Amino acid sequence: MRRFVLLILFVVVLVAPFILQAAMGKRTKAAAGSELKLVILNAHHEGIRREFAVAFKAWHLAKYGQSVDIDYRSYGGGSDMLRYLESSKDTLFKATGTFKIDLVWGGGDYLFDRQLKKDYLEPVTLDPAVMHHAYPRPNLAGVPLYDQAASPKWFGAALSSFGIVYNKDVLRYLGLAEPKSWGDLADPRYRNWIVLADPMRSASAKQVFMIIVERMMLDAHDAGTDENQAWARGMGLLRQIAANARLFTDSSSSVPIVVGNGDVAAGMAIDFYGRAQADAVGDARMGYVEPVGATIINPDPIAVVRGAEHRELAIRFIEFVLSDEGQRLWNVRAGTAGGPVQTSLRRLPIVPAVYDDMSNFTDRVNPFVMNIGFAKSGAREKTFGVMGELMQISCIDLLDELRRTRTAILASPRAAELDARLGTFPFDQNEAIRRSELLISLKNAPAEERLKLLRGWTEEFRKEYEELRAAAKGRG
Amino acid sequence: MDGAAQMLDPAKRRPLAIGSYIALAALLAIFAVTLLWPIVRILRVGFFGMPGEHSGFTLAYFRAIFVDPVLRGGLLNSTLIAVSVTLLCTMISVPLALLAQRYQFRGKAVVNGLLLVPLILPPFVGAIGMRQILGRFGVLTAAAHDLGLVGANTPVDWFGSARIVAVVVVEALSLYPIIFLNVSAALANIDPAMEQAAANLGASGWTIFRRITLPLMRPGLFAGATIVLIWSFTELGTPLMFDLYQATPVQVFERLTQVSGSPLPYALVVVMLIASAILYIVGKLALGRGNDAAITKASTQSSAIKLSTGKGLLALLPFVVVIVLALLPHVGVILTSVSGVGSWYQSVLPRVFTAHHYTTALTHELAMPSVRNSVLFASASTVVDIGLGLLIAWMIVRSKLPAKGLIDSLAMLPLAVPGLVLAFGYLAISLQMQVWFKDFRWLRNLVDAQENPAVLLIIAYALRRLPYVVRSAVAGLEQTPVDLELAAKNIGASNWLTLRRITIPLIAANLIAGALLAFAFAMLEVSDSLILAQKQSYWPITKAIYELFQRLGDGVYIASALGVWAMVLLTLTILSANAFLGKRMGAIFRV
Repeated sequence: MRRFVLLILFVVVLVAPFILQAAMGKRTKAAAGSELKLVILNAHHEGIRREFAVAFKAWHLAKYGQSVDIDYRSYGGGSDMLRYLESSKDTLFKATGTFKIDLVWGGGDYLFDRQLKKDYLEPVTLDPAVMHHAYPRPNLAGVPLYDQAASPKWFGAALSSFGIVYNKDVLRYLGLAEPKSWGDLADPRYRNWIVLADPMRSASAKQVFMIIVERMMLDAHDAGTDENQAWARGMGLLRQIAANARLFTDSSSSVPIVVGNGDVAAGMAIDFYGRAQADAVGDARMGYVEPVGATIINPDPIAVVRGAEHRELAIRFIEFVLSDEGQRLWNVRAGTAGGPVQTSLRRLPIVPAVYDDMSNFTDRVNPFVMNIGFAKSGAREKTFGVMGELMQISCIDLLDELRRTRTAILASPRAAELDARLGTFPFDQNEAIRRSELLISLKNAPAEERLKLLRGWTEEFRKEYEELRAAAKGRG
Repeated sequence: MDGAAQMLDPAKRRPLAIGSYIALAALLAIFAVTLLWPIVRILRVGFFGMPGEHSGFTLAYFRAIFVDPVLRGGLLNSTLIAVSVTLLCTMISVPLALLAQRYQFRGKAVVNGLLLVPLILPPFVGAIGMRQILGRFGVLTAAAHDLGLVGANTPVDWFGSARIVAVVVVEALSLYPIIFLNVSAALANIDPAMEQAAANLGASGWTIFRRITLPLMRPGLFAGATIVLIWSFTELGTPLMFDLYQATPVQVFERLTQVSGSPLPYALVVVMLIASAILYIVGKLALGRGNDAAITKASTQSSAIKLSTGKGLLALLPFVVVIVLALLPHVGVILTSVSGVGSWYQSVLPRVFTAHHYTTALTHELAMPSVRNSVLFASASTVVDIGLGLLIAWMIVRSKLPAKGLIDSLAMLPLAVPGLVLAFGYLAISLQMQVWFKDFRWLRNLVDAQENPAVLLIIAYALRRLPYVVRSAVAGLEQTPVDLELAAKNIGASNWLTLRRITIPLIAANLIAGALLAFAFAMLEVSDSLILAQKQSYWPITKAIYELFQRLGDGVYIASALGVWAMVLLTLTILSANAFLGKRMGAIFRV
């Protein structure tokens, strides 16, 4: 008898969610069933994916009378999307003429403009009225808001900036003031209290590292000193910050989460991740700050993928994202008129007209009026492509050694001198560019050759750290 | 029995024989496609490169793995995890199993049952709870503060940067029941006469244990240890949840995006497969076979010594300690699921309790479809398992087919082949088939893991859980006298009728138990789900939990709500299966 009671209980628990769901009168749709389908390769968090899917489906049904099924593919960060497309190019795409992806969305403008545009994106001509409304000006602080070709290959869908998330309780414990600049994170009192995202996997981590270096180059330019050397100091600052890192996470959305629960004191985050988590756990515990004049504003693009099987629908999706209705989803508070249903997305719209009415905005920041970021320059971003590898060989793979090295340095009588050496990369930008080109030339070579090269570079850093430790102990 | 068989009309036996050979051929074909093909495919790419490269046999990709310090470090870490977890599990399980076997004390039945609780939750879901407990501002820190051990607002770093320790602890606390069940079963079958004889000859307790008990229970110990070793070596979810990226399964997972262009992930999987195979062979051959003489039934049941109340309480203590520790992840997940967002922080218990995450989960675009998907996939795979399991069990127990040993080994092989390897293999053959079927759109979509992983997931789940159903059906058939079936046939019943009216009803309890376990473990399968389900509308529960865990705001809470539901479902499964199978539960988890 007992066993049948258990069996009945098992069935009850199994069906309970379905009955409760029916009782609540809300049904979410399961697998595909509609005739129109859109496949989007996406680097955003689940809240963005869901809210835009819900809103686009309603918009499309109202405008075209057809329901749409949106199929998001999420492989991780922007770099993972790039890897997916790269590895499918010679197999899937060659064999079938399609990546089986219609749109690629999120991951920053560098990814789209420098890494995806040539081989993976399709030129698209949008309705001129849509273009004119969305982009009355082609750029912001010198940064193009969409691909400036006659038939653009990518379109900025939102604006992003970068800043520092921090946990106020931990800072109080460590006796530290709230951080104001990137350099603050290199303070040795943050040792083992910083979290960074892996730039090999997260495009936004790569972007924020580049910003730090670029700002130092700009400072050198303004002061009339050598930008090449400033690059090395920027990379060195990243090393000093990395020496404080507890870990490099594989996704940039983990950064605000672990800061929020107090496992680390601070980290670097894309603006809307930082704001969203501070909102969730409360401003008393968590803060988000953008270093004044040391961040950038850049577009987060969307683009049609080459060989898209549902091209027309993909273009409609872009038009929706650029419409006022789509743009307001970014910053209108969830649950209020014209806003998302469930999750406030807290991102900055890219269409200036949307800022005319900021009444229900979660963040009343108008990047078109305020001077948030400094002007980027392509000339100072030449090492963006190799930033992930540079961080990997100097910091991530050698994290333990790096930490030990800085500890030894700071305990030594020659602390100031040796820490300045750690704070300067052993080679300058020109050398980094040379190495970057070397890596690119090996793109089609067997994987082991590339690995061998990188391994050799890692050894250079290992040796440098050994020498610094020896010097710190008075042996060098 | 033979006499009875000879009484059958030879004309009636003939089609049976042909039928069994057809069934045998079909089974072998099924195993060839679902088990061997994916493995061969991985080996092929790992050793010969991507199709079209025509590079010939090469060890270049393996060299690439072993010279890359990060990948090498991953292998080292994974090995370290596997060995530590297995040792820790053995250290937890063996003393407890001996205590339970030797002594009778109040509460023994209850603690014996509670020891199996970790089975109700995959370790990677438990990791959500443990992160909450072990965080610098987590439960342990708050408790230490309440006890006056640390000052207010003072974080404590329990494992420091040694995340590997947390992974080992969480996995060990989750996997020890497998060794406990196997060792208990082995102990129960040791003929007490042997130990009594040794005692009569003057051997001390330690000598008896060392010279009699240990050798006799060794097959059970190694059966359990092998499963735990391979499981922890290839466990993907737990290191992922603890941000331990330098572990081979995680490195494979991170390279999934390169699966259609680079042989490196294949080579990594081959290394895992070879390492697992070595572990399996060492466990199975060198150190004791799972089903040798020691596991035959004892002539008498050993009688446990009854302990006084005081000594009984003392004996109870280690059980309670282990159970409390093993329950921590579960309690962590349950409390997270009812905690207000961000309110379980610097406190032993959440400051705000809410049921909101459950109602959110019910309407959530990720949560509910994932529950529906999992129920669908798990049901389908269970149906497949019952059909195949019954057929295989019948062949093993009843038929005189020449290859039945092979079938037995093949059916048990999924326990030894890591889920991660098979899942990766399915992904690989899915890519291969897409090229074959590129001109047949519907066929291409059917086998395309990215388009629709349902078919592959069902096959993967079914194959991975087949051993449970086979084991329980075999146990049932072995206990059912064949004479009943022969009697039915003698009076003219067809094979089908005999199966339907005699055999199945007689082993129904076993089949239900096996099916329940197959279903529940398919619901909570981690590796297959994380690797094969890439399209959101097909995500099963575990994939949804993993994705939600990374979501800002309330993600982890909704993930926990899903975890709690799964926990309740699996508890009922284990209890039901236990009620149907009784003491034979251990057999299900044996290699």
